[in-house]
Formats: sequence, structure tokens, C-alpha cells
Amino acid sequence: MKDLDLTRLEAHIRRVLLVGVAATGLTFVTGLALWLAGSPRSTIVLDVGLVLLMAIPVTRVIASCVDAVRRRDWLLTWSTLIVLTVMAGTLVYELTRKITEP
Amino acid sequence: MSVVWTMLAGAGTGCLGALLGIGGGVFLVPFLNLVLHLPFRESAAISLVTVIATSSVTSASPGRLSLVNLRLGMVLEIFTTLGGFSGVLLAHRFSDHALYITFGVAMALVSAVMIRVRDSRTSIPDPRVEVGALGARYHDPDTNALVAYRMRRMPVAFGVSYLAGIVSTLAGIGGGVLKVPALNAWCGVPMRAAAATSALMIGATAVVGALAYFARGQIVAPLAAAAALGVLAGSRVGFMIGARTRARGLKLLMAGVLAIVAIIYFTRAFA
Repeated sequence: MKDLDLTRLEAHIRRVLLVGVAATGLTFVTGLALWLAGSPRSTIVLDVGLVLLMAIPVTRVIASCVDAVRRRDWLLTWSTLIVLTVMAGTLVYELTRKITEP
Repeated sequence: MSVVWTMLAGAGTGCLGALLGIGGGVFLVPFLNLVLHLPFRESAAISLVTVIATSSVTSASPGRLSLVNLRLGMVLEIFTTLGGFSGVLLAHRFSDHALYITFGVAMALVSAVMIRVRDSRTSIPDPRVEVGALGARYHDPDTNALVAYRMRRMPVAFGVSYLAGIVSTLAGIGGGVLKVPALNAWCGVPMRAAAATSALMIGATAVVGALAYFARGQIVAPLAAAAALGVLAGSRVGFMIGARTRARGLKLLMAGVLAIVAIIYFTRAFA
């Protein structure tokens, strides 16, 4: 990987991570404050925070995939696609299990 | 009150994890399960949430990303996430006793790893080496030298990654503590590069287990949020302290604590 490409990739990844962490932290603080106040909205806010947090690594893998395609790094492209497929497959499996089991 | 204790526990484990260079899950799960009496699965689920948080923060640190071998990390992540999914399937079928055994084995392994690597020095590979498809080059800030390495024994790396994924989901830890020593000792990856790559990828590993626990409603959201916030704060403190101390004695102490935790879980499993 060329130095300029690596630097650009680093900047992309860092931005994704920092924005995601900040948004998650803010959501968690809000959700906890609502929970401590006894608000019924706290559950939704905290769940949104959890989804945001779990979305950070997923977004990072997606960003890596997009960058890999742009640089025609097919090993990295296919690796990220397989990882994303496993993540999606886990979610589909759990949701299917939830629907089909009593 | 549990929220406060969980946040403090998260801060403590985040600090310890950053100081010792391991994930905090190995400390957080026993605290939640043994001290706060949270069921093991819920404890593991909360721990995975903190692993994602830690991974995201650690990997965003300036300069660290230059050590990350993204290609290698992502190829290994295929096997780790498959292992994580296998862990999701096993979690349905495992009894609590089986989970205790799994966690006890993981703690014993982590303890052994902490004792083994405490005085190890990273050998500086030949910068002229041909790195191949999965090796890399980076500038080592400590030695101010260019480091190049080539991956060896890929099947070993794949197998360890798969196992780390299973353990990650079942025990609620990141799995890096199993992958990093293996990559360094058997696959030719310098410790700093292995640790940085692992720190970036454990978030993706933990997501597989966390997604499953979330879908099953096994993540206690207020406690998970408190733990994550605590870990984020504690890990910053840990990094600051770690920059000034070697923490060698602390590593030995924590290795001893984890060995005791392993014994406790084996006892619970066979009681």
C-alpha cells in the first residue's frame, strides 16, 4: 500500500471511528439521564445508542471495502465483503430464530 | 445503584485493559457475574459492548493506524467472525456450566499469556524482506527504524482466529489476547503490529456476538451504556498512565487474579 493511499485510508477510518464514538457517547449519556429520571423513552434511546455503537465496526468494514474497490485491492475487497456477509448472516439468523421459535 | 457500580467497574477495567494491553472484558465479566450477580450471558453481552467501544477508541488513536495491517486483519477477520457466528450457534446449546468452563479456560490462557509476554522484546525483522500479500512495512517510533515482516504459517493464524471468535462470543471478550500472542510467536508478526491490528479488528469480532445478544434481548441497556461510558473514560486514564509506567508488576498481579478467577469458574462449573 503506497504511503499516500495509507494516509488517506487512515484519515477515513479515523473520522468514521471518532464520529461514531462521539454520537454513541452522547446517546448513552442522554439515555442514562432519561433512565435515571424514570422516563419510558430511555429504553428506545439506549437501544439507539447500542445500535450506533455496533454500527461503528460495521461502518469501518464498509469504508475499508469501498476504499479497497477504489484502489483495486481485490483481496481486501473480498475479505471485507465476506466479513460483512457473516455479520449480516448473524443478524438474519437471530431475527429468523425470533420469528420461528415460540 | 448497579448502574453506578457498573460504570465504575467499566472505568476500572478500561484503565486496566489499556495499562496492560489487553481488553477489559476479562475483568468486567467476572465483576458483573460474580460481584453484581448478573447472569453470565448478560455479563458477556455487556462486556462485548465495551469491547466494541474500546476497539473504536483505541483504533482511532493517532499514529496507531500506521501499525495496522488492514489486509491481514481483514483476512483473519473472516475466520474470527465465522468463529463468532459458531459461538452464537453454540451459545444456544451451551449450559451455564459449559459457559463457565469456557470462560475458565479463557482466563487461564490469558493469565498464561500475560506471564509469558511480560518480558518479551519484539525482534526487529529485516526491513529488506519481501512482505508478500499479507505482510507489511511500518515505521517503528521506538527504534526509529523501518520494520518489514512476512506472514508465516497462515493455517495456524486462521485456526487461532476461528477459535478466538468462538471464545469472544461465548466468554464476552475481544479475542485479541488469544490472537496477538499467536500472531507474534508463530506467524512472524511483530507484537506492535499484531496488537494494533487486533485492536482494530476485535470490534468487528465483538459485533457478531453483540448482534446476537441484542436480538435476543440479553443486553441490559442501562448497564451496557454505563459500562461503555466507564470504559471509554477509564481507558484514556490507562493510556496516560501506561505512557509513564511499564506496569510489569501489575501484569503479574493481574495474571494471578485471572488465574484465581479461572479457578472460581472451574469450581462453579463442577460444583
